[in-house]
Amino acid sequence: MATEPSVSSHAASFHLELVTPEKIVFNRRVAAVTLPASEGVMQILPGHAPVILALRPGVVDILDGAAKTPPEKFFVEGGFAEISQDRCVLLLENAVTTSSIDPKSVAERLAALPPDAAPLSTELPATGHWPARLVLQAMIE
Amino acid sequence: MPSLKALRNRITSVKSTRKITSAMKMVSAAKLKRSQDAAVAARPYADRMEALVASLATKITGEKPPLIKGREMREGQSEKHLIIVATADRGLCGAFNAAIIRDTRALIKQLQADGKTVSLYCVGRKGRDALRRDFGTIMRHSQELGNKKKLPFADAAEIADRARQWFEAGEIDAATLIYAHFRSAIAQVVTRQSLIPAKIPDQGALDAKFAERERAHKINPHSVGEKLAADPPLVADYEPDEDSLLATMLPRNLAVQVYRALLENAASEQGARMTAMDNATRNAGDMISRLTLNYNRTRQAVITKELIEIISGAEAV
Repeated sequence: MATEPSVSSHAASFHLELVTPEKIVFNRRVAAVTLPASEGVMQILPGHAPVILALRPGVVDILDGAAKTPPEKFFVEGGFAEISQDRCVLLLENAVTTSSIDPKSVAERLAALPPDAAPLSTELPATGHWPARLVLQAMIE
Repeated sequence: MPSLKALRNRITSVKSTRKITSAMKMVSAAKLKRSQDAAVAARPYADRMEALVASLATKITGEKPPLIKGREMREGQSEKHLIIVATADRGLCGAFNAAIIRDTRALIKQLQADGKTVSLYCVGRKGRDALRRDFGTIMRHSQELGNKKKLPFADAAEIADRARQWFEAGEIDAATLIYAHFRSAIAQVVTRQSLIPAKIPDQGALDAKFAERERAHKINPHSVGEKLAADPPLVADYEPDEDSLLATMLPRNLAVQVYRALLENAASEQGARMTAMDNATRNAGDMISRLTLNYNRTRQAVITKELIEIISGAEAV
């Protein structure tokens, strides 16, 4: 994790932004964030090399740095992450706090889905949408 | 000359009309504020997406995806063009719907003259009602916006997905969106936007736009989201590779374009209605003062006439 002198003053934190088409959900400096990247879960720390990622449905786990506040968690239905020197911007279709998800109703919606014979592909979908089943399964986890 | 009673009735009726139009004006002023806020809130996402797609599109190694490139037409094959018409669900908003419909008719004529097959997708009741008469046979799909306080992104995504599926099934080869661009409460510009093939802004246009935002940010430094959206993306690694990233991103980008246009359209509609209702209120006021003048003159004339009758009657005796 190379940090340049110019950013060393902020090396303990970086700017995280969760942007949905309807509003900016989260916009603060944080110590670390864990992302459900398309090729595996990865944690972003300050000074991460610039990268653009596709995200799977999963949980974005935010570590605030300040020990007082509990870590914040958002469930996302996939999207994109843009990471540069001092900032991480997540472009998301949808972001809800995990505490607001009711596991029972998700399980019901999952059960109501038409049975899908084809195995679920974890490849990037060409339609831009992740299959509903995958989203709901991830939501339960 | 109308009788006094008839004049009185007309004045009362115009007065109640004025009450209605001024109430409608205030309602649309409030709604205008809300839709402008929604349009501003959608901006960071749309800008970011636009910049990402633009930078990815210049970097991809393989062939460009058909959503950007468009479909190549073989000899003797006529291009199938889809026009998505965004109008309002309601009337009483001046020339708003009429202007969009007029432009749509012009575009249909133009495309048909070029030998292309045209189909329509109407979003909003007014457009569907007006275009159904002449172009009912080429109407592929239509839907109403519904009376929602805030336009959900999912609605726009649904429209974009439908268009994309038709494109992939080969039912259409190109798509254009017609909507009213919101310039101010009194000026809305009917705009045609090419959705398929997607218009990818080049770096120069993006830079100009970012510079503009930067200036706006200096004036109002509180708009953090705008500031953050202003930086062009850095050269970066891509995971997975550029081509598959772009392939997933393009359908999303389509939805964002539609969402942005629909929000603009909603703001334009409220702006147009506000202006129309303001004019109507003022006209009603003018009419009331004219009628009142007329009423008073008539009343005096009646009194004078009665006096003359009494006096000439007394003289005759």
